[in-house]
Amino acid sequence: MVIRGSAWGKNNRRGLFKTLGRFLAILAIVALGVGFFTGLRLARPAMAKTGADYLRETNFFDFELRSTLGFTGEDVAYFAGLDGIAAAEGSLNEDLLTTCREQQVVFSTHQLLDEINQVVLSAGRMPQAANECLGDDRFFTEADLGTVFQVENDDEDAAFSQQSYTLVGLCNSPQYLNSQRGSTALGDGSVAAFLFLPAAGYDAAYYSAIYVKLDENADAFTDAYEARSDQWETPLKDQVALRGALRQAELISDAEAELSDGWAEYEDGLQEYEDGKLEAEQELSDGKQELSDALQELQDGEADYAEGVETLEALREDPLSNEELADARQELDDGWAAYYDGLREYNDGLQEYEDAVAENQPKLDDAKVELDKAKQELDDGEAEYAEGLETYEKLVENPLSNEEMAEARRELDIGWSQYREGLAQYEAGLAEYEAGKAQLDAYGAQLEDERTELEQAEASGALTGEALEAAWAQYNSAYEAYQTQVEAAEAAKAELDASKAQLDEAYATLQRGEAAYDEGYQVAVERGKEELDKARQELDDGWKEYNEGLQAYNDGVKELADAKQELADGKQELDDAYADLTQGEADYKSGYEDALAEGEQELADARKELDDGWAEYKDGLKDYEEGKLEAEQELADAKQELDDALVELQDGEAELDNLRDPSYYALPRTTNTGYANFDSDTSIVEGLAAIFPVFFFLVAALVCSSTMTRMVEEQRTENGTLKALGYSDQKIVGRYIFYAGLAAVSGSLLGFGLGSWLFPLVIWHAYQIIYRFGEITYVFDPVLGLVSLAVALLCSVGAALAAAYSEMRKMPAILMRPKAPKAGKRIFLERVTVLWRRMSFLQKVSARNVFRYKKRLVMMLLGVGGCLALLLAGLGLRDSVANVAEDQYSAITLYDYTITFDQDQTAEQQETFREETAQDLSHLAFAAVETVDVFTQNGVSSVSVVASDDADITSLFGLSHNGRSVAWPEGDGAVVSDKLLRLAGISVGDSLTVELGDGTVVEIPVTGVFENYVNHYILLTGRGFETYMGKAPAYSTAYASTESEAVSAVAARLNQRSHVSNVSLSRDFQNMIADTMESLNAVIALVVGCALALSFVVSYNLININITERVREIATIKVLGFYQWETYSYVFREGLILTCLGCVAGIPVGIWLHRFVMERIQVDMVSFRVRISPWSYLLALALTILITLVADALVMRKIDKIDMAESLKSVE
Amino acid sequence: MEGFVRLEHVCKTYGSGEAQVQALRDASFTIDKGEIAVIVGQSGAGKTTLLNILGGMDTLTSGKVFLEGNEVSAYRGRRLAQYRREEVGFVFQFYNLIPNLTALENVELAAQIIKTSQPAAEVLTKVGLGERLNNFPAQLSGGEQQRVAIARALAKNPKLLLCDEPTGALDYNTGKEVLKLLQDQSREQGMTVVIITHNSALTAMADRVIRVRSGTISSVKKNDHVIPVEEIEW
Repeated sequence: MVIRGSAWGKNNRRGLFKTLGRFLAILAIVALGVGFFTGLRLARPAMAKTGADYLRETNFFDFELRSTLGFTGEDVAYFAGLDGIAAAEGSLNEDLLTTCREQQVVFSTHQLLDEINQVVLSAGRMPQAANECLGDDRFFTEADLGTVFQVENDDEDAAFSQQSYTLVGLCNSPQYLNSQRGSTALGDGSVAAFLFLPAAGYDAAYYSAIYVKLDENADAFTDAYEARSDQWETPLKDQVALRGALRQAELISDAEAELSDGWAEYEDGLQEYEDGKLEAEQELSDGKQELSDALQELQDGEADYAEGVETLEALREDPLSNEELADARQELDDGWAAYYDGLREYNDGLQEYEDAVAENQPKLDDAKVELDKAKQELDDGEAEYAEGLETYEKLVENPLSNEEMAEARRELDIGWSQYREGLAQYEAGLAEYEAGKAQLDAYGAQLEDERTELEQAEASGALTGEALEAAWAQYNSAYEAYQTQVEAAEAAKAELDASKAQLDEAYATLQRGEAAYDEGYQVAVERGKEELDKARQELDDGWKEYNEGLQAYNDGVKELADAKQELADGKQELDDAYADLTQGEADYKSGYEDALAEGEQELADARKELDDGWAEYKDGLKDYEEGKLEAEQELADAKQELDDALVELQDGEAELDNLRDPSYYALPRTTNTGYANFDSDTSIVEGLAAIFPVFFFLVAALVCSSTMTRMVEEQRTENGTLKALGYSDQKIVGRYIFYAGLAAVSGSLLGFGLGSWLFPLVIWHAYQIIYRFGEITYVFDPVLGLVSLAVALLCSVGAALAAAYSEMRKMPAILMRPKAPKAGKRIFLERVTVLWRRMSFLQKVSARNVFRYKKRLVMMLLGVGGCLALLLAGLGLRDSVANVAEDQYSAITLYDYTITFDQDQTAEQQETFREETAQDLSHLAFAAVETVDVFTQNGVSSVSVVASDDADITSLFGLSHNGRSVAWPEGDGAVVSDKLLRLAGISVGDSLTVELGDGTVVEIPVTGVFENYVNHYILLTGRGFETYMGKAPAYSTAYASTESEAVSAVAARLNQRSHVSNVSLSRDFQNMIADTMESLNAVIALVVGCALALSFVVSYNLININITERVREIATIKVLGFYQWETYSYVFREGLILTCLGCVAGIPVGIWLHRFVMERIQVDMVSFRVRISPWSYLLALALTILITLVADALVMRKIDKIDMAESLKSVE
Repeated sequence: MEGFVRLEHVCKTYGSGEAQVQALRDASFTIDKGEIAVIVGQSGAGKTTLLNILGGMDTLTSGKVFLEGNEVSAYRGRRLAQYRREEVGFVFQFYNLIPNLTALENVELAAQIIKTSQPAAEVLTKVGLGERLNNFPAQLSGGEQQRVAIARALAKNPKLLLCDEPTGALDYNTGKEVLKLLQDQSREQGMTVVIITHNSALTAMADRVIRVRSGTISSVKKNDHVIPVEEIEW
């Protein structure tokens, strides 16, 4: 037994305070888990209970019975008397058309009942007089109390007993749980608010409904209630029919008799009216014809007169208005114009001429001078030429006439005479020589002879000695003289030969000179000829040029002269024209004055005549008008009377139709819009509760377990010491059980309390946008609390036990020694050397740490990943749900109105309707609509069968699938909304099993599928309808769209058409769905908030553990000189890596979770598009990381506080 | 006043009011550059406070501390961290290695934050652990771990090496080896080493012996007969 105040107890208490943060972490995570679990689990029951309590307190009906025949007091008593029925009350309700807040509005009024459907008064008092009423506290405020509503209904049969009603109190009613107020055939088709009137406020023969309360019943919004309700539905409907049949025949015969009398009377009246009308009309039309003839005549006269006045006025103002004058004037103006044109032309011409003269005269004069000069030159040329010719001719005749030639001749002649002279000399020389020669030769012969004589003398000794020698000497001298003479002769001969050669040469030269002379002559003659020809040619060209120049000059002179003549002629013509025009002007003026005088006289006469005519006509008209008014009034009165009678009769007929074919209804609560919506809206929360809390528990378990394990490890030495001191294992372990248990129990209590209270409160608060009845009723579910507590204890105490016992098994000695720090280990990543080498040092440390503590890794992954998954699912929920209304009503439901007719519309009726509403409606399609049940995997779904052959239907239903548009079915084809196919678990090509209203089951083969979010549809053609539904399609519904801005006004106009029984606006449905989605936002915010809290607790706890565990390490790196931020990043990097890993892991989980939740919350009639927008991903990631950063920021201070001296301490 | 390390009238008071404890009172001494100084005293005498102050891990209540003429005691915050980072090396009694890092990585952890650090592997080789670079602390003996710790301090090229009971957790022989290493470092590198111990035997290896008693410096002596570590017995 632990003694109070003992050291043991103190130690435990101090331990708790010392580790308060840890204790609170466990407490918080347990509280979160339990709170979230119970909160989401209990939200729906709490809301359902709140709703059920309200409905019980207000005694909300179980069934609403309706019959087109109405109900009598006896009927009410009959139903009240049935077995199993606790109460039945007849009630009246009627729509009130009135003006409120300066607008015409429709209020739906209900009768205040004694027992059933009790209203809850929220302001003012209950009505006491017949003309007092209660009002809708959502529409009216206390300031509206005292307002008087005038009854403005057109229908005289409206069941109101008063002309007006005064608002004396505000209330809410179980019949209107949500903000929907329904639609009406009056006004713009929408109901603004409800009113409750006392029974005396109505005046009607029959009740419009009977509200029935069953004897005993289960709570509302439970399966048990629905089962019991289903049991009663058919029997009650049969009873309504039974009561109706009792009265039907009597009602019909009374009505028929009354109607036939009425019709006969009407016919008579109509005949009488028609006859009288015809007669009166004839008379009036005669009188009218006469008057109109007279009027026509007068008007013609007036017109003529006015025209005359106008003409005269015009003439006075402007003579040109007279045609003759105008013509004259025109002629004159034309003349003047022509004259001035001519004058201008003349002046231009004159100017031109003068310019030409000024410009050309000097040129002409220059030309003349040049021409004369050329003439002179040419004449000189001719003279020169003649001279040349003469010289030439002389040359031809006698070459010597040419001086050169003569000189040459002379030279030649001298040569010849010299030659001849030389030749004569030579011949003389030769003769001399020959004579000398002959002498010499004779002397020679003499010498020879002498010689011979001497020789002989000698030989004979003729001569001797001195004589001989004298003889020989004489001879030798004679011979020598002879020899000399011979030599001289020979020299003379050589000289002669030489001169002969010279002579021959001179002769040759002379001969050549002769030839050259002849040639020279020839050339001279030829050249002279050539020169002469050229000169001739030049002269001829010169003459030609001269003649041309002369011609041009003469032309120029002539041109100027001509121009001058022309100008003189023009001037004469102009002067003549001016004289003519002046005369014309005078004539014109006199003509104008004559015309004016004549016109004035004519007009005065005409005026007089017309005034007389008018006086006469007015008298006639007055008589006619009086007669006509009288007749018309009489006729109109008669017509009104007849029309009123007709309307009355037609109403009677319609009523009779209703009587013949009455409809009977026994409507259970679930057909009340507010009730049904509340049911489905609250069940959305239930879907969330299914899976979300599991995460919280899982994470809570891990947080507890790792925290407790850590704690046991930390206190290892202490425990060893205690054990050594003799404390038992149980006692030591007991500390942890106590510690963990205390945290778990208090956390559970806190969580259970908060969850049971806060969640329903917040969610209810959100739902109060739509459902405004009272405060939430809290539901406490002890079983749920115990289960949560058990799970929480299991997580915390279990973990503590496991950790503690595994330690306690060891011996105290071992325990007292510090546990070796968890050894460093190589992690798998290090084997990937490529990657590992690239990592910085601190990254390596972080990576090792991340993988060192597996449990923490899992915890962080779960915590952060779970947080991200929850955020994704929550935000995705919003993405998926928020746009359903938008998606459905902007792309699929393209029609603005669903028009319900009171009967099948024939082709002609359809055509008429189409034509008459063409102004308002841009598209219109008639359809046969039937509600059937389809067997699906989960049971039975209510499905709308829409059959139409109108081409326009495709403009009203936007059919598409996977981005491709889908055609309206053809023949026997059936196109089905996708959710229905999914529910039925079949695909295109298979058959849907459908149960018709009469219980027949048919198979409809599906030929196509289209995306649709709200409601289920089977779309058919008229033929398909007949094939599958076993009857001809009844076209009593039309879908229509408008381009008008005033959607409601169009609805009201449609409502007033005959046979239209109801017009409902798609916009109303859209708003209703949008409202529901709005309330979901708060739920999502709650989920998001809890997810963030979860993530925070996990991150904070983990970082905290990390730091306490590594104080020594952190102190050491501080001593090593790490700066503040280096230290932070050393510590936090690990957490951030884990966060990132958690995020990566969380995304697929989030997607899965989102899909799961969407499956769960899918309301039967609504299919959501399962999607998460990119923004949601970003937001979820950002928030998750932000939370880690916030946790880090909170821990920073703790890191700063770590004392470096810690590093000096011994290992614990 | 001269001195590589200089303390002037240093006081340190912990706590406040009644719980006030005066850990140091008017402590003044100097240590010259390249000296091995041993601060010796009983537990609680104020040794660790001295160490904290010298190491820039704690501030003083009054007085001044200078290193190389710079007033360390005036440093705060980041400048103080820079002082620890760049100017002091620290060897802890319990080594304080990061268990998740190998020997080499532990040295790198300190080296990588300094510009002028020595290559980690080289330093480890120098302290005789060239073969065990890639072992985790858990795989090393105490002496080896302390060598890693010394290598970690040396890698930073500190001006002042502070050792807190470097042999406190080691056996006799290993302790001696470690002390030898410190002495060698001081002699070879001319590094100023301050060893804090309660073991008076170590004073024999010191150039300067500072005795602390109940928060005051009881004596500062220059030791003229330095004995090599091998010859010291205790």
